[in-house]
Amino acid sequence: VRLLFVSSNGVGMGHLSRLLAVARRLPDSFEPVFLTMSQALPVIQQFGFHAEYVPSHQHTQSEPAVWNAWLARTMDQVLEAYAVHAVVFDGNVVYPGICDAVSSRPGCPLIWIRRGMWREDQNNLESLLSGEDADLIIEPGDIASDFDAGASADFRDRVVIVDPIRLLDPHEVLSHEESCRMLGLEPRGHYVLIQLGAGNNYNFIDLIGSVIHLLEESKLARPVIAEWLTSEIELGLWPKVPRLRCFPISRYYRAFDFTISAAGYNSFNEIISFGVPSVLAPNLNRAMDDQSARAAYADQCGAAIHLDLEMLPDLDRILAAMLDEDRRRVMRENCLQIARANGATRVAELVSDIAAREGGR
Amino acid sequence: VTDTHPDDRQRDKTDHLRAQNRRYRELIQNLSSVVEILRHRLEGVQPKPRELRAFEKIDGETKPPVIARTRASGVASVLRRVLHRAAPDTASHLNPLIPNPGWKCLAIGQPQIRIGFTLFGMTPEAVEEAVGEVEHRQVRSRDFTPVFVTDSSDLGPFRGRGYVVEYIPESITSRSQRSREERQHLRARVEFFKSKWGLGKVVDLGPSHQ
Repeated sequence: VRLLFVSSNGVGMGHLSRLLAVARRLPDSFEPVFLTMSQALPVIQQFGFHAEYVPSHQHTQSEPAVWNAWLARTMDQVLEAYAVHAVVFDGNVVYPGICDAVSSRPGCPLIWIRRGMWREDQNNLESLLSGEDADLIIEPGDIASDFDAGASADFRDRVVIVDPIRLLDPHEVLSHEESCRMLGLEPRGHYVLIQLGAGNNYNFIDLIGSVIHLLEESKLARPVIAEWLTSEIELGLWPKVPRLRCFPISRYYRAFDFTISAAGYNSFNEIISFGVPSVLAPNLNRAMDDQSARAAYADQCGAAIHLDLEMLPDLDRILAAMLDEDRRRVMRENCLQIARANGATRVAELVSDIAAREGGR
Repeated sequence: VTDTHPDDRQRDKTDHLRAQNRRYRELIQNLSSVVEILRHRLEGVQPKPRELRAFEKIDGETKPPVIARTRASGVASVLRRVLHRAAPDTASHLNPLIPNPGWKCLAIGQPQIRIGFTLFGMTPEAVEEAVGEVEHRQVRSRDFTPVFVTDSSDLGPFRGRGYVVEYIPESITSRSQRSREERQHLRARVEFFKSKWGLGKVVDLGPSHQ
């Protein structure tokens, strides 16, 4: 049974990561094929999956309706060529082109994976209603879902909610020694991972500069910068600071004492679930999800420090606190208190079940 | 009081039935989950943890066995079998998409001549050089917009310059292993991109043309 996993072109890797998490947990009798709008095509292939690419609407100056018509045509070809039994889409809006192509193929169910935590000030009703044609809507849970005040929270009676989807299970995260060896770091050294996102829609250069400056002054830990594979900018401003450009970065989390991180879905749920002490600096671009709510939730639980803009002058005191091992130990314990199971296996079950029952009928 | 038009009534009824249908489907879905859980509890058997698909590459140390894996799976054989069916329909009338002109020529107006460039079987260095050369010429002449078609999964050289790129998996473009069907399919896909982006002509920048 062949399933087509379709991902939109997110700012980071969130949509694709969730699809990969599900695809790698499918039973052997199911074969995933990907159609992505993301630049991270090689990542799909490194997991051993076949991938096709289609440019997103951001690459054209045409009307969305025209782009959707071509998307529908591309989808038609892919569905036909790979004899697809079901389509699994992860994105914030189900494009009309996808709906048109899938609805013209009876017996090919459409499953929409749609995360929550939308910003309260975003008008997302149209996006939410775009999934009306989906046969099943799955909302991957969020550790911070108690703080979810966005539009999708009102639609929970229409969706199947599962535990947060994570690409890795805890046993797949490398040990401290192994991570350091793979990254070429000294196992006895102290390192801080700076992972503030792809930087495609938010300027975090000043924050990185401040963190590096303060850590260098303290001489207690060395910074390492994570670069997203989809990043359009290179973080080469600090030539002495090692850069980590790989996927998934979470596999190496145990090499680091703590992380300064954005609070996107994947990073946040991984950081908390793997017990990594963190300072969470939300990406405040209005097009993003409610990262401030995630950071605030973790802060309230004592599982992270929420670094909002007003606190930037206090960054030195925050880093001093994070450099204290006892504080980090408590933070790690608090993370594990609120951690949740990985929902990817459950989604793989739901998807394979619906594809087996309805696909190709 | 206004009368409701029969079409509206019909639409309302259809909407109502669809909503009802969806609710039933969700209910069945939830019940299936409950049945599954109960079955496991009844049998006292926990579901066996499945072996996850391994990482084939974590960093740049090893080359991912992309083609080997794809060929070994059912995908490639299916692809070969249905190549003729997958041949794109280029005859129908859809307005072509207007491609972004690239970061260095954002100000150039439309319509421009749109030229397709195919880059198959090239090393990353050769791709980088070829795209750089096209960009250089475009900046100088400012009279065309390129659209690239590549079999390299590294789309950075194109997207980093703000260009449109289409991708055809290497398993289809590989010259040495192309059958007649595969050659046809490759041609059909390039034709599809030609219609999609309204390309006046397509120039092959691959190794045999260098």
